[in-house]
Amino acid sequence: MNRNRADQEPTRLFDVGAQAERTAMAWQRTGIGVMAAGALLVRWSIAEGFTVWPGVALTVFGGFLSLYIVGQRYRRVLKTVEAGQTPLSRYLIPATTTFLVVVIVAAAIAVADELAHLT
Amino acid sequence: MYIAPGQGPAGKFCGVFPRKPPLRSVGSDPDYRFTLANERTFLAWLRTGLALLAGAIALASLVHHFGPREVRIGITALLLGLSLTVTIGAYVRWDRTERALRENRPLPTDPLPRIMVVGVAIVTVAAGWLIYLAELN
Repeated sequence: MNRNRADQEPTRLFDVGAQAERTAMAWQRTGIGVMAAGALLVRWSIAEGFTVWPGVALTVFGGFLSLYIVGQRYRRVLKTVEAGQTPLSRYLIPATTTFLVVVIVAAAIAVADELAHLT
Repeated sequence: MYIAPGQGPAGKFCGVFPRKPPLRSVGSDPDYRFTLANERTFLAWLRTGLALLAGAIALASLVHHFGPREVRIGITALLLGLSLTVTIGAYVRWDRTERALRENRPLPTDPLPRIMVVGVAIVTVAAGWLIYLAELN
């Protein structure tokens, strides 16, 4: 009488070709890369004695990216694809680019600053 | 929700460039697999930029008293410049490719691989030169 739902519906394929999973894993790899760069930055700040918080912030952001955004992106892609819409990310990609550009410019300033002090 | 041209995220980001219409208003939705593949390629380029950044930080912080300082500074600057170019280029490539996908045009040529090859080759030669100069003393 109380049939299992699985018996009533034909099995449904979702995430065909693992597209959503592959994209989420690409974000995961990027998050790990951000953490690695952040860890290097922390090590450098401790060795040179300047403030450690930018490096820590970077590592934490990388961790946040890996833990939270990855799962979010996966679910959003699944949802939008199922709804027949495009999973085009509106803010995530420009925001990530801006953030990393800021990080690189800050690192360049830090390197230049440290080299100027060494002279 | 209608977004006026230049008000979308792409318009806000490219401050000095001519405002293109926001991405979603261009053309029509392509096969979602192409959009996601484009996104993954963007992330791959970002990781390349991160690796270059890590190389620059490592060189600046871990390598001391190894060859002339000017050469080390030069290589660090080159790595940082490459990292910035690749990161910005990754976004530009993603945006241009997505527009081409939406308008069903052939994909635009991508200068990033060439830039990477030339840049990394220069860094490699410079690193070899640094090692040579370091070993001289």
